[in-house]
Amino acid sequence: MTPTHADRQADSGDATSLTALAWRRTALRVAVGAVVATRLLTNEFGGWVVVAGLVGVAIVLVVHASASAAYLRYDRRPRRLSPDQGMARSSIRVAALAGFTVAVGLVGLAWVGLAAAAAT
Amino acid sequence: MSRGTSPPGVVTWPRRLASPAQDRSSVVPGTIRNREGAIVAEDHRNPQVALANERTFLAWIRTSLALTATGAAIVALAPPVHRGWLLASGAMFVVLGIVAGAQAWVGWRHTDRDTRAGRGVAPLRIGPYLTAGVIVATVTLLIGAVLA
Repeated sequence: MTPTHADRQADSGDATSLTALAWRRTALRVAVGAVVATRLLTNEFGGWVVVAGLVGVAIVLVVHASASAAYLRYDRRPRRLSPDQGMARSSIRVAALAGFTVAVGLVGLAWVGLAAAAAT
Repeated sequence: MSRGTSPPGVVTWPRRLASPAQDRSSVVPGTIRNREGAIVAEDHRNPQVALANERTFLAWIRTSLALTATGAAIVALAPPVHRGWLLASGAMFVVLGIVAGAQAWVGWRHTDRDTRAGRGVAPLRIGPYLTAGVIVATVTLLIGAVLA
């Protein structure tokens, strides 16, 4: 069955909602990961891990708020995808989230390396 | 074709754009404007593709977190597995998580660039390597379990 114009508009709205929810879900998961990593690594790496964890959680919360604000703005004041949307610019959110995720991975790798060194 | 009407197959962005009450001076399809309203670039993106690209990026981030958490959990929980193989498996999972995190950003960037330029999306080259890595890490863990 061929979708109607109304169906396509609904799909567009659904895509916006799905993307906003995906941002929130992922941001919260990264925040939980950061807290768990902080708890796990504090004994090995000292107090600065707590600071790094707090900074990470703050970044993730900003990303969460930024994504929510961006999609709320799309919903309230329709406009085309713009290259300049301040902190809500998607490339900034993407870079922040990817950077922090890779950083968590690198710290995890360092922790595994320490465990390996302790085992030998 | 007048503005505000969409031919079949064209998705209007965002959903309320078709409303006749909207000012469409800054939403001419195919253009990106700066704050002053001047056209700064041609944008060939389908909004659905741009949103799907973001969701794909987020799925990669969640995959990265899952792989990193798996590697850390393997080492932290210390199951009855030969220590060397256990650490090797855990390290492999964490490295795969880092690779997935990097792929998230690189894939989003390439897809964003290609779709802006009106080109097709490049195939996923890293997928088979990541799958092979997960299999190797799992087999490594199993070998360690057998040797323990």
